[in-house]
Amino acid sequence: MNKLFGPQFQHYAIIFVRYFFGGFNLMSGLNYYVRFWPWPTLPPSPSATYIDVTITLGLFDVAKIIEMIAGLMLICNIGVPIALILLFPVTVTVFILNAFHSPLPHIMASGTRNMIFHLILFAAYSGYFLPLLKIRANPSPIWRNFPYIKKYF
Amino acid sequence: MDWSLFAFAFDGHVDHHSINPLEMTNYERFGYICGFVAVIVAIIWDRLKKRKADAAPETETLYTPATRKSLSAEAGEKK
Repeated sequence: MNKLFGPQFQHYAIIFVRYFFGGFNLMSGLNYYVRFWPWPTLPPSPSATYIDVTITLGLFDVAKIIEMIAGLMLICNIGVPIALILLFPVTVTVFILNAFHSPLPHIMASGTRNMIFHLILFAAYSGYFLPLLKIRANPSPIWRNFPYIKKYF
Repeated sequence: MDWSLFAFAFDGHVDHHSINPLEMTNYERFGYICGFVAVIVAIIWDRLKKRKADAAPETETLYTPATRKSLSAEAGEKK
């Protein structure tokens, strides 16, 4: 059992989740502009109404651009932690719309699975996020530490 | 819905209209393809790297400074 879920399994599992999530979001974002497939038409539901409103307000474009950029970053393994942070609001919104407001079981499963995959990736890259949990943080302004910013790249 | 490229419509519905919990959207399908291809490539890549690393030491040790030193020392001794 230990061998099955050992470091090698974890290594490949993280690769799978990262590429799945990256590919899903990249395609979801690209399809809004390039139209590889027709847009999925949602059955009448609160989520369909919400999406109509976000398209009217232009928020849907923002979400799709974030999906494209973050998806590409996940696939190319460039700035994965910041890509996960960028993508989190989109994942949460999709999770709420799909899991609680969709009448279709496979769409409920899709949103929930994406949320779980996002949390798995957060856990896998937790070393980069744990410093954010500091309770009493002193200011560390970027304008004072600017020359040292290079060390983070 | 003939226009859809969605191919897993077991119950005659497509994409976001299916009631089958096992069906996938096009995005999910693309995600799974990406994931599986990436894992296969990673496995092949890792095996090639391991094979290269296993084969490398003999050639690498010839060029390390320590070996050079010992070789030259050996040559000096012979002289």
